[in-house]
Amino acid sequence: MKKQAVSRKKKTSHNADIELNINKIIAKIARVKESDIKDDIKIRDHLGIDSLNATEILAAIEVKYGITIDEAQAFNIETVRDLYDLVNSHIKKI
Amino acid sequence: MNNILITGATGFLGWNVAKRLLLNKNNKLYTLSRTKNNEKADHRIKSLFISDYGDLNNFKTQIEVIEGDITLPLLGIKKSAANDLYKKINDIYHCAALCDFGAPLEPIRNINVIGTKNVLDFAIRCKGHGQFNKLSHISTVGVAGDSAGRFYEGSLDVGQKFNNTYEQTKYEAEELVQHYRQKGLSISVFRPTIVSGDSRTGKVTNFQMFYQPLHIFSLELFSEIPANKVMKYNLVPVDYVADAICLISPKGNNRNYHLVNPSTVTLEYFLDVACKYFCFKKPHIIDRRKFDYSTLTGFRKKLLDPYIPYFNHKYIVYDDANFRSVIAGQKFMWPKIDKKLLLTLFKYCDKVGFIKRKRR
Repeated sequence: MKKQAVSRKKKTSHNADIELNINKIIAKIARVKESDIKDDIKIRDHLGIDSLNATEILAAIEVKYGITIDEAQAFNIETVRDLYDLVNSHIKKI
Repeated sequence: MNNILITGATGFLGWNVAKRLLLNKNNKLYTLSRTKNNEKADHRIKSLFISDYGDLNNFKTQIEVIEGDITLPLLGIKKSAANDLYKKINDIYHCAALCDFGAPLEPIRNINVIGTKNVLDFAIRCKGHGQFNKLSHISTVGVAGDSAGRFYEGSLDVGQKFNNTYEQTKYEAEELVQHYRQKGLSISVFRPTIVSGDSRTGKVTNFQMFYQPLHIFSLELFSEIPANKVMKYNLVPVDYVADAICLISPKGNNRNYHLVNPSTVTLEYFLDVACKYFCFKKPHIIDRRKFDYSTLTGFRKKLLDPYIPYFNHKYIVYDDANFRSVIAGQKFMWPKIDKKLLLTLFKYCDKVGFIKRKRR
C-alpha cells in the first residue's frame, strides 16, 4: 500500500513537472505569462496562438521529450489539458 | 482631386503605400477594408493612424473608409456606394493579399486570385465611366517559382514549379492581370523580393517572410539545417518598396517591375548577425546533399519544410531593366543590406517581443 502511494505521489509530481515544462514552452513561444495558462483554456482562442506558434510548440515538446507527436492527434487538441494528456500518453509509451 | 481606391491598406505594405499617397494633398484615398475579429473597418484604419501619427486629424478630409471584402463580387461594396465609386475612381492600388507559405490552396486562392479578379472587374466598371487611369498590382518575384537563370520582368510562364501555394496563387493572379490588360486596362505590376521592416525603425506589422524562420531558429530546435550557405538573400525594406511603388505608379504603363536590391546578404552572414544579437545557438548549415533528412521528423519537419526551398534555391537573377529605366533620374537608391540595417530589423523584433534577446 505504502509503495503504491509513493509511486502515485511520484507519478503526480512527474505529471506536474511535465505540465510546468509545457507551460514554459507555451509561454516562451506564444509570448504569454505562465500564470495566464490554465488547464481548461482553449489554446487558439484564448492564448491567441497562430498555426506557426502551434507547430513550434509541438516541435519544442518533441525535442524536449524525444517523442514524435502524431499530426492527426495534435489536430484534436483544443485545451491546454488536451495537450498535457497527449504528451503524457506519449511519455507513458516510452 | 485624384481619387484612389486602395485594398490592403491595413496590411504591412499597403499601409506604407497609403501613408505615402496621403502626402500628396491632391490625393483622396478610399480604403477598402473589412471587419476583422469584430473590429470594424474604420476602427482598424483609425488605429493605424493613431499608432503612427497620434491621431487622424491631418488626413480626415483625405480618407474615406469603404466597408468591403475583396473576396466578394464587386468587392462586397453596397450597390449605391459602388455606383458612386465607379464614377470617381482614377487609380486603384491592389495591395491586399495573403502571404502565408503554409496555407492550404483554396483559402489562399480565394484571397489572392478571386480577390484580384474582383478588383480587376471593379476596375473595368470604373473604366466604363471614363475617369479611370490605371491599376497598380502588388505581386512578388515568387511568381518565378523554382525557375533558374534570368527571369525577366516580362516573363511569367517559363515552365516553373511552385514552392508553395503563395507563389502559385500570385502567379495565377498575374495570369488574370495579363488577361485584363488585353481587355484594355492599364496595369503596373510590382514584384518585390523579400520585404523586410522599415529600414530606419525596423517596424513591421506582420512578421511574415524571413521573420518566421528566424523565429523558428531562435527556439534552438535545429542543430543542423540543409542549406546553401553562400546563397544570397535579397531584402527590400518596406519603406523603399513603398517609395518605389509610389514613384513608378504615376509613370508606369502596363509593365511589370522587379523591385530587387543589388545589395544582398548570404544566409550564413544573416544567421551570424542574428545569432550574435539574439544570443541563440546558430544551426550548422549543411549542404543539402549531405544532410541526413531522417533526423528531420514530426513537427520539426513541418516547421522547416516550407523554407527548405528558399535555403537551396537555384541560381536566379531577377532582371530589373524596366525598373531601372523608369527610376532613372529619380532620387532613389536601394539601401545597403549590412549589419547596421539587420540590427535595426532585429532590435524591433526584440522591442515588440517577437523574438526576445537573451540578456547575458
